[in-house]
Amino acid sequence: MLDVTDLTFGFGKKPLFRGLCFSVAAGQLIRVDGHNGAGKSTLISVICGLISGHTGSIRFADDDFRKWTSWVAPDANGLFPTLSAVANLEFWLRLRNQNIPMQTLRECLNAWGISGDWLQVGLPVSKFSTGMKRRLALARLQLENSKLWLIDEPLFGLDERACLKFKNHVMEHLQAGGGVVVVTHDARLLDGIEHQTVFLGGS
Amino acid sequence: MASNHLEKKISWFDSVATLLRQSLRVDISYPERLITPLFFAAIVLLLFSFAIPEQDTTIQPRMVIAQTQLAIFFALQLTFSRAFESERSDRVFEHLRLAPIDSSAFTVSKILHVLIIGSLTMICTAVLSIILQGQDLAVITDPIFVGASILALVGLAGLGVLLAAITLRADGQAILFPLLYFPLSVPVLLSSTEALAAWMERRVWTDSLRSWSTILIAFDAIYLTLAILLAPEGE
Repeated sequence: MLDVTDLTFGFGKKPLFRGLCFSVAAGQLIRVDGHNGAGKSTLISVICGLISGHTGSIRFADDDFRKWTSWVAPDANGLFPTLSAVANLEFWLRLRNQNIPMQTLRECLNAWGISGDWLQVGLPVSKFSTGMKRRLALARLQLENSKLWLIDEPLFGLDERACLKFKNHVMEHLQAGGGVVVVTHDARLLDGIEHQTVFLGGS
Repeated sequence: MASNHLEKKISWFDSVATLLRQSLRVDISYPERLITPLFFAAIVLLLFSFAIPEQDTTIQPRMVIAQTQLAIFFALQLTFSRAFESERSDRVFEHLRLAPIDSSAFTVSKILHVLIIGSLTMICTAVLSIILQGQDLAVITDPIFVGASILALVGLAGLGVLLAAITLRADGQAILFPLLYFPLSVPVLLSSTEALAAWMERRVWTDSLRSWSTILIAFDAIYLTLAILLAPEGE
């Protein structure tokens, strides 16, 4: 699904990480670990192609990896603040050529606790709390149903129940043959999930 | 689960339409974005109409065009500088870069978006200007007048989106944008004003009108091409 070979990247002369090698196969989860500032989020951005200037190779199983890859980051829910939850979801799914029935979409949002007043027509997501915005971003991740998830601190802002729900989705995703690269400091997510760790920070 | 990658990629036209619809939805959800440029243009025109004394009838058409173009120019600068505002929030733009769409679709949708918003601003400004200057309102239905106005708008929209895209990730976007926009828009502004004034003065197809229109079309083509070629890359 993804092969990273001899990947080196840095913002200045000193590399943030050097000679990284790992691969993600179907049903595999890779955890990116390291102290603050070690370059974990940067690594995800470099893999996505959001930051250029690396050496080494990043190879995806298909040329247009954007078709089957989803990205989530703590400060990047990708929400248009003045639009409603439904309007935001509809837009991103449409760009992936997914015409999901409104009923399914609402059911998914309800399952994530976005129901009732939160789904009022015209209620902009700017009125949502941090946790609710994150739930919406994860609902999108679930509906996009991509093969490879590149996720950075997905539990940021979530309560215990939502964390558990997301963990179940990760397990389902892996069982269905999906791959995950995750940056997380939250042990709850990986508890009981078989994974490999890529450690950044010199070791 | 994990089967979506097999779905067919959205067509280029569908992606342009989806992106354009979303931009318009954002505008409707936040009307201040639409009203501010109009309000700004109205103030500029009102200032002109009070500050400048009544002119000789021979130069009045030229003055009307110059004032209208100037008011539209400043109003559009507001529209263009905000063209990517919604994409800057919550890193929407990064998500767009990772969406399975062609980067040119994003630029074309933005050009169409500012053309629609710009047309509204242009129509309202032109009507107000003509009323304030006591000119014949029927001129705004004149095909040559409309054509030259659209050409001016296309040139400014191409340039506006090009610069908004270039300065999207720049720290000093608010300063950088007008610094680049003002000098580069001079050819479009000058040629459209001259073409429109040439038409307003004589209402016949003259050599002057032809040459200014040609220059205007040339700059439209340059700015539109550059905007599409220098579209923010998706990969």
